[in-house]
Amino acid sequence: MVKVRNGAQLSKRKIYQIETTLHEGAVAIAGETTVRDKSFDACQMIIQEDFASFNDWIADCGGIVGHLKSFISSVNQKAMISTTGDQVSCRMQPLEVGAVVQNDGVQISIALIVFNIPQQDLEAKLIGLFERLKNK
Amino acid sequence: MKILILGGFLGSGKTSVLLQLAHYLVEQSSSDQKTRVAIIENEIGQIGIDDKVLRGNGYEVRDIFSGCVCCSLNSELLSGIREIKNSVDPEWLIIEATGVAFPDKIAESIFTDMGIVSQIVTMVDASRWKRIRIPLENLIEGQLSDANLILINKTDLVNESELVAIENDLRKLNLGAALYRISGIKAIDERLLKVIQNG
Repeated sequence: MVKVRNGAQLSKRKIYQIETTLHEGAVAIAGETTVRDKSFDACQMIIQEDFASFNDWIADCGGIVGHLKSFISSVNQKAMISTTGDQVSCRMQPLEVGAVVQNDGVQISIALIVFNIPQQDLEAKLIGLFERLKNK
Repeated sequence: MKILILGGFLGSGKTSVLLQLAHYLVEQSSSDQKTRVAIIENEIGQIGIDDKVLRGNGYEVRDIFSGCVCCSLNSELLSGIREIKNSVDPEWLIIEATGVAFPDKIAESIFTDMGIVSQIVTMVDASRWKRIRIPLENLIEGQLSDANLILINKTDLVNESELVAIENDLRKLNLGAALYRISGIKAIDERLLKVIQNG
């Protein structure tokens, strides 16, 4: 297994906390961010759209989606968005009883595990998604 | 403490099965132990998603992220198991492996280090079997070869002839494992959960 502490693309930016791990032919990239100027629903829609787009791109490149997953949470909503290459599903999650919830925008975690796709290309896709969450 | 390793390829439904199984084991337990089920969640990436889902469903989870417990993080797994055994000694410890882990390697290291024989349950995604079977042959075969029980999931997404072909293929890979069909659109039959519970 190979770990890349700062993805090749990300070292230029140093905005997002992500890490790339290579294992058994898989490229696993995970990142987190907090979005403060968009609603939960808007973030959810962006991620779902991009995951659908990633699916098409990976298939066109001859890659195999392990999974694309995201967990998003706000003060009163939580959801897991996921796909294994076909449909993108979004499941609302129960709010933890007694949990301390930060009233600080929308917390977003994303994990992409893909086979047969160059690491840098996949990192660029995740950066693009974070940019959309930040800018759109 | 009994140990169950839940393996299987990415997206095969491990976390959904874990939630149902953990709930069943807690409900069925006759022991007075405060902690009946402990969960170790291993994710290959630095950031976990499934642990958040499990926590949201009321479970305390020990995370082992950014690597695989079948190889690079094996020592962390073993120390985690010892810590759980010494601190809460649950009736059951469920280890959800990453989707790229080899469950038999995990079981082997636990047996070598602690003398505990783990039960291996491996999930198969019926809807993606044909897509991944050949390109990821080594990984898929390695995940299935020593499973005690194989759960063929997402059976609602393929037809009967495909399911029979998958079962035949699985029997070639692992003659000794019990095969069961399940589907994400309905809860796992309690009889099957009992089979898993009884090993």
